[in-house]
Amino acid sequence: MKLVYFFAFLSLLSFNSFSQTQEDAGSSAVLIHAGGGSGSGFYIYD
Amino acid sequence: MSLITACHVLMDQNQNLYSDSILLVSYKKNSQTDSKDSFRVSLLTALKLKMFKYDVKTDVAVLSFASSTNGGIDYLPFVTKISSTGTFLNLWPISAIKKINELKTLDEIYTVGYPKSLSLTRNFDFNRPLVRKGIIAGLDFTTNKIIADCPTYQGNSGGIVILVFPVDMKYYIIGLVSQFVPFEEHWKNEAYGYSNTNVYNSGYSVIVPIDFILQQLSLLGK
Repeated sequence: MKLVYFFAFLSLLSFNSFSQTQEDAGSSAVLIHAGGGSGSGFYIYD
Repeated sequence: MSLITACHVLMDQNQNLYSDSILLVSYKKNSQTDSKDSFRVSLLTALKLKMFKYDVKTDVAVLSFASSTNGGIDYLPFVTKISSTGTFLNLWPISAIKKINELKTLDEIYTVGYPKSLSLTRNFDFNRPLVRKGIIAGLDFTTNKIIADCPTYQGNSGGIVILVFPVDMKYYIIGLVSQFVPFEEHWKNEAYGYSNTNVYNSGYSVIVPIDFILQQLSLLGK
């Protein structure tokens, strides 16, 4: 079921009028290594 | 171009940075391939140049990263490129946002991040981002926080939260992951004087709305 949701999400994103493609959006997180830990982030532009 | 994340990913509550510099890794298009961007960023230098702004109270950190000129990308001096294919494909336009007062409960959302604290690392590569689906469970206009019915874990902090706007079915940034809401179970054995508290992930998460991110972005040096 989770896979169905995931692929439904990706297919919907492909119809988005923004510059994001389905692949970009699905992988739009940035992995941040800070010291010994890690977290997430994302890039934006204006 | 800016990096957005949660403040607590980079520093403790006393505003002490976990490290002077950070390593950023992101993947192009298909995250199952090895095409990726890696950068080393000096936070101390960015701070001096007023290109790094944060607010511990709202848990938002923003870092000006690069600018685009004539179709190319100019990285700021505190950014060291380790590996890159030359173009950013996973940038989000800041125009594609929905503020907290535009949201409604039950709206459908997705988080994208790196919950590296999850186990079964032998079965999955947690250096790749994972998407999770959820809904807006509540909107707290007193604290201006979004509560999501969408489990997040250590490593998700700072990750983007995307809304499926029901009016046009398009995708918008609504904020970033700040923390999960804990469920605490207290017990006490009065006969022996023992007590204990177990803390679990309730499945609810606190989302910092894009409104606070915009505030910090407006403070960046130009």
